[in-house]
Amino acid sequence: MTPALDIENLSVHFPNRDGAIAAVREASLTVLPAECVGIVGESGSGKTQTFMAVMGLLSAGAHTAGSVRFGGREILGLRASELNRVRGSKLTMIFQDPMTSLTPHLRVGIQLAEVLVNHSHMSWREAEKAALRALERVRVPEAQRRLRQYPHELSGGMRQRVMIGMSLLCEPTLLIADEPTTALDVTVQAQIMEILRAMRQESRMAIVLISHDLGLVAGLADRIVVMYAGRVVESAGAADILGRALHPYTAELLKCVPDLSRPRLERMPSLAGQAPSASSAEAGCAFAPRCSLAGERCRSERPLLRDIGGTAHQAACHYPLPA
Amino acid sequence: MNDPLLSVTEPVLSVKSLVVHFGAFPAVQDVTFDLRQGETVGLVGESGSGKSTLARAILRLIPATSGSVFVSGDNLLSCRPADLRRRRRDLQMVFQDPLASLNPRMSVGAALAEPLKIHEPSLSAPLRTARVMEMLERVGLSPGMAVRYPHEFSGGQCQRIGIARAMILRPKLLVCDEPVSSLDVSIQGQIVNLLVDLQKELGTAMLFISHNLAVIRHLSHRVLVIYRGRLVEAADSEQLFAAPAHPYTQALLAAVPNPTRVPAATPIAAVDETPVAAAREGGCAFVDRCPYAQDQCRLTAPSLGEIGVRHAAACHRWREVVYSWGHEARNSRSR
Repeated sequence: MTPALDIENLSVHFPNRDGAIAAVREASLTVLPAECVGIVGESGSGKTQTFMAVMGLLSAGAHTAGSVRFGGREILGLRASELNRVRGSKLTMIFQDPMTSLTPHLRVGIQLAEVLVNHSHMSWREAEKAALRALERVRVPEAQRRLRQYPHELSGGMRQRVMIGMSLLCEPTLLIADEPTTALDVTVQAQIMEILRAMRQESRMAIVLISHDLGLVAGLADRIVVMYAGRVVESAGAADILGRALHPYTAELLKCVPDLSRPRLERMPSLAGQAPSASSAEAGCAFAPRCSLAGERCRSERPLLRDIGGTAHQAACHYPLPA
Repeated sequence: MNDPLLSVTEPVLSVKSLVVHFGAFPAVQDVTFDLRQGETVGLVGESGSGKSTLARAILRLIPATSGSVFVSGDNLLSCRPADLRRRRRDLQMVFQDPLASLNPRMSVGAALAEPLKIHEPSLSAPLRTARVMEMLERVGLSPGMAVRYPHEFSGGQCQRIGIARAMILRPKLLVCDEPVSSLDVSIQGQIVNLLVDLQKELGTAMLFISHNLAVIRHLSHRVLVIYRGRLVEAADSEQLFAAPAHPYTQALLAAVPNPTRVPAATPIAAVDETPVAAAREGGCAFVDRCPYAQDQCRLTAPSLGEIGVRHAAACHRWREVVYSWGHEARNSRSR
């Protein structure tokens, strides 16, 4: 089966005065058709930059290396005109802040229809009908009225639903959702997650869900990829990540996931210290300074991502936790 | 976590029947609560519920329409400007966006020294510097960082600086407006634990605003739930999380993602679709989203009434609401 997305040894560097900032370091991951893969990591872990590279949206001056194949075809480094044949139609992305993703001075209906006019060469009349259906599909109430509204007239949750509706217009094979609910209330977050879940079942589209919140990702993802300091440090089925995390970093992240059904703890769990800056040179494991299990070897020799306990579970750790 | 002393000391903050209107729109309606020394009251609600407006009106950063705010016995809302300025040292605030709330052109040391210059002008420069260094260390930053600028710090570090700036005057009341919402889950705990430690040390009373129930549960002694400008439930923290008596509180609790169970489909009613301004006349404001609503709820608005020990709810059907929550919990345990 050709993967929906195949990222191999992807590196993203931003040159600066003192050398380069390495945002992504030789990251590899695969998304199968109709699969939902959760990408989890802290700010600065490279999770967003990985997928900005996939979408060809890196800021000017970024250097990339490696390979990104979408539906079997190499898309890394394609010219914008080439990339636009799939980007926005078969390969789509939604962002944390739906307000800045929508054009403030155009009515919602026009912004939706424009996608179909450009990508599917529909007439405006047809496209507007399809836009209405798209809003109904993501359960926007009073969809007809919403089409004539401007983005600022909608609530944050409504805007995000418009973005999801827009991203689904051309029946994408892969939707990348980058922190789609971080700016929203818990109740609205739950509803957006429910819509994503429903869309998956309806359309067999693959989803990449990027978040710093492992608890949120676990509710939707089939597989979870944990990133730290620009690298993939663990990758496994969602149940394995939750139940048998091998990398100490993943285990620490899991401790931070709040669970209201458990008794209140005296101290709120958190990760001590900070993630290393992306400009620092690497010697050994990037997590070693924050890791309670780190030994001498961790500080000198960088652990490679390897199969541990079966081919579907990989971790980059010299001393993985007992499964 | 409940300190028996809490109930005998005089409140540091006493808010009575506070009302805030923006034009004709009632943003905060008839809010009353007390906050004592060393106590944390958590204020929870969705965006647009009026929680930040309430906090700002308490600190007189925006004008209140009516009501009173007593701080150590004096009504802040009728204070003269000169008195208010003097009072400000006892009333400090930590904001949601830690970077935006720091002056980008001021070094961290200067930002921390400024409140001391204003409120303790008699302090000599060396003593002031000593206080700044001590405070930096207290929030987990090294004194050497005093010469750096806000953009050189991570979000978590900026929030530590914001907390240091607020606490350096040892205020009686600290208002925190979503202080961890923009931070990674993995470091939210660091900031929450820091606030709890500082509070224990200095006896500060804390009003903590958040839409994050896990954080609210962690540090609040008492929790207030606000919906469309009105308090709909108030209870001691453990009681609120064990036996929520308002359907809105239950909707908020049910929406918290839990990795150990796939969430049941969220009832659409749990999400606000109607514009806030379109709130109905008469009747309960939550009625359109409420799975328990009956005719009575459409006709008369329930008032916030005592339903148990230190537990109040504004719901006609609170008995059924509490029972069904307990029932669900029993079922999910036996499964």
